[in-house]
Amino acid sequence: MSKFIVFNSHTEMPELPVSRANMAWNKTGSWRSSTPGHRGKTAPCNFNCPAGEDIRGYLALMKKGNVAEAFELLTAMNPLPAVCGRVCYHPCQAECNRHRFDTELQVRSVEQLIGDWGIQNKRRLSFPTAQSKKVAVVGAGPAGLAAAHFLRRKGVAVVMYDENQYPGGILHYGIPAYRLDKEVLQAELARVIDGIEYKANMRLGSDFDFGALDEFDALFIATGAHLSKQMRINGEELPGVESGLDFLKRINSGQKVDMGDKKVLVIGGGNTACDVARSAYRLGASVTVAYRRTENEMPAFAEEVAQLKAEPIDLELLVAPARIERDGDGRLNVTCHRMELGEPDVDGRRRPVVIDGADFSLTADVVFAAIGEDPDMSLTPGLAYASDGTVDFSQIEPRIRDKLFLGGDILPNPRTVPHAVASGRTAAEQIVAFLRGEPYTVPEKLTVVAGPDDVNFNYFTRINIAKSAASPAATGTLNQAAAIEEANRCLSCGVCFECDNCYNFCPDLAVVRTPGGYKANLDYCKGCGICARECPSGSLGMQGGKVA
Amino acid sequence: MKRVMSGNETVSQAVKLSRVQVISAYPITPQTTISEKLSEICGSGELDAKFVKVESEHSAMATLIGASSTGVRTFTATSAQGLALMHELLFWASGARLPIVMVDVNRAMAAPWTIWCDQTDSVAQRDTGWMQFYCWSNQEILDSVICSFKIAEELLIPCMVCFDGFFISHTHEAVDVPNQETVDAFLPPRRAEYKLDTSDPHTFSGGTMPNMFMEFRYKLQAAFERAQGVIDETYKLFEQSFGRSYRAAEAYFADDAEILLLASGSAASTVYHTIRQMRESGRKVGLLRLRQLRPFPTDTLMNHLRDGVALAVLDRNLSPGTGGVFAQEVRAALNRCGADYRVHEFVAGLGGRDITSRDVESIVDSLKNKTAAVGTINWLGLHR
Repeated sequence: MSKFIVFNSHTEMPELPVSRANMAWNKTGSWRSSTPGHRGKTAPCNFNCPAGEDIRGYLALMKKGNVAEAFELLTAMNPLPAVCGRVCYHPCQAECNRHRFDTELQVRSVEQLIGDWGIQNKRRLSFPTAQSKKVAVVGAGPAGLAAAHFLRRKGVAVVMYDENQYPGGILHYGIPAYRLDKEVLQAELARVIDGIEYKANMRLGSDFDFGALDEFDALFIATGAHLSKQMRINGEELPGVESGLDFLKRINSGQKVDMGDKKVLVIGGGNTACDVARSAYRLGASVTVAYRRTENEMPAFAEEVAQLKAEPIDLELLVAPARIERDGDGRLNVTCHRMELGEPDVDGRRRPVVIDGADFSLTADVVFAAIGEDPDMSLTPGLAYASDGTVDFSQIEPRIRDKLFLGGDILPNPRTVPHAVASGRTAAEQIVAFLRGEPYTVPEKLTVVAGPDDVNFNYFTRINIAKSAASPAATGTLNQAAAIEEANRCLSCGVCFECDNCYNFCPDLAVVRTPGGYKANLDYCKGCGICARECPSGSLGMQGGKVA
Repeated sequence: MKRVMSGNETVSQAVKLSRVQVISAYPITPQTTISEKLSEICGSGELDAKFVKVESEHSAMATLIGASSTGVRTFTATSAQGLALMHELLFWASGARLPIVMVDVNRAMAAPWTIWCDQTDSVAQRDTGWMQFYCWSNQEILDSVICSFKIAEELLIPCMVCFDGFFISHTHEAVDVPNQETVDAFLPPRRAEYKLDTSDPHTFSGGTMPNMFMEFRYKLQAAFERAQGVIDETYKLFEQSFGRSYRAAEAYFADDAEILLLASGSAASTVYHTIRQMRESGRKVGLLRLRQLRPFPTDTLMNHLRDGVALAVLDRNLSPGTGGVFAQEVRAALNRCGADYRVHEFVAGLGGRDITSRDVESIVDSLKNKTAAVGTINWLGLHR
């Protein structure tokens, strides 16, 4: 390939030290001792989204102002963006690397905008018409809705049963309207159940049973968990001692509930307790919440607790009810233990221990128990929980059992809307595989998260959003321009966003643009690593050794 | 059109008129306002050039080396420690034969810390293979920068235009700013025979064995030996277009002078005004203003020497251990030509101290009275 050029005199030499020959033959890639490549890391928002949304992906589309494609990408995983944009506890934001830089990206607000855009623009999701298989979905909460929706998008006919008049389950009957606007919910649900037959007021276990579902090729059961846990104290059966969840359901069903001038005691520290307390306060009650541990241990989302505390509601911590009696005035007299924190529990939270001799009493007109919910097993005759918490199918007749799929809160999952959505979507995928007679393979998920050290913050500008519409302190919803501006703050952690830095910085012009990214021309890449060093998102990394 | 401008602003105008394509500079007093103005006119689009921000003068020069290798016209400006930081890359620029033009606003080298004027920064770079021009007025700055591009691109030798910090850089004068069409006609776009081209990749300045290295140095030296002819030719063309003429060294009252002072930069203008007054009282004093350090204007110097003339070289710089650098250069040139003249060397104005008319008079008096030392430095204005 190479040949020697011999200069006999300086007059034959070029004026400056430049090779006479074209040097493309010199494949300097042979010098390489490490090779650039995408590191296969995922952004923390994506990794932490229970619903499995490609958050980084739709933020990238939002950056380009492409709301329509952002909506498509988002709803490919979660058909309820307007709902989740309002009620999700957004772990995406909590883990956002921008948190280390200025303020975490307000993903939830952007998600809400995308969801609302879908509603306003009357987006309908296309689904095939051919429907040879039929699936029954029991329970129209977020899990059932997601399962039905994704099955329908795969061309499966779906009939949905629910004990209530309206679909939505906990979304409709549990979450108060001040947190989730009913019009938004109904508009979003109309799209989600498009093409699905909805059978209202059909309660499994009483209005129909598994036998009635024999005609279906598969069954998906997502009847949720809405039996308030018993406090197991004396006086629990007294009138005026009620289930917090039932109270929410009454309000959300449109019943007139008068709480004026009543003194309300809410027992519990979870999201239901917060919703019950704040709803009762809105109906005119004076409200006290009693929780047996400290604020640190409250199972409610931090944001819910903060909002609770921002209202004129008394929060009594380290207090547990011991018994309830009716006093002479007809009011409820709740004898309470003072508690202290002892040794850590199995779940790591410190166990509350009664302080002897410190009992005291609280009076109330109404006591709401909101210490947790259990699945109502009367809905699913034959199903039981084994001692280890898993579901026992053995009592269900085999013909049904073989095509039975479960999801949502009846499984031992975290009880959140995005977890329920993921559960329903996964079930839909499993059912589709089942209907085709194929094995179900769990989709691969990137498990290495790009942390703040992976991001080259030199390429980003600190932005103070304290005064912008996206500020966490701001109320109301983002408009489209503000959502795009907020999306522009995305660091694209660990994922290429085609900034051209590697392409521009490569001293050997060995980075080649390809559709949707870049690749190294290994004929000339010397492995200097500048591309990886200057990659703002930490998408590129160097792998040791001479990788061909 | 005449405009009143500072020396530094004049540089920016000249760079703009020269249609420079890539600029990279790092701020340093007293040069800073040059790069500030250039960044503004690049930012506003007034000049269609890429202004590359860098973290040091070393990177500024490295950037221009890369840019110039692609065949574009490049410029930077610096002072003192900034120029010293570029040192190794100055060799690279000349060895790679890149016609980069740089302004050095003369500032003394620390320590001790100073921002004030002397020429030690640029004269210390005389062996780096760059041409060096020294100016005494803002008009000369404008003209020299424009000419430098033409000269540098013809010879493939980088070029430094130097003038005194504050004395010139921050002094406002009326400057005749030519129109763009005239400059374009005088200075067409650069046409590089050798340039980086990704569609036809060649290796530049790669590892060179002993069998060839010396020949490249020979070629650089040969280019310097051709340089004065190219410079003079450029000045001739310049005069035809712009009506102003320049020479390698400029003589004033030199024809019949019994005492001839050699000086450069702003000090030369003090010498000029002083001896003009001395001439009125009949004293036969002349000035040879040195405009070039590289290539050194030996021929012009020899043309202005007459028998019996007493020579004094005024240096606003010091090479510690020997003396003023212009004095050394004058002695070397005389020796090379076999001319036997005594050179009285004066060092003055280091670190921004004023060089006054009285200083100039004292030089003349000491030569007339034969009290000036030969073979050692005559320190002017030193607090003894």
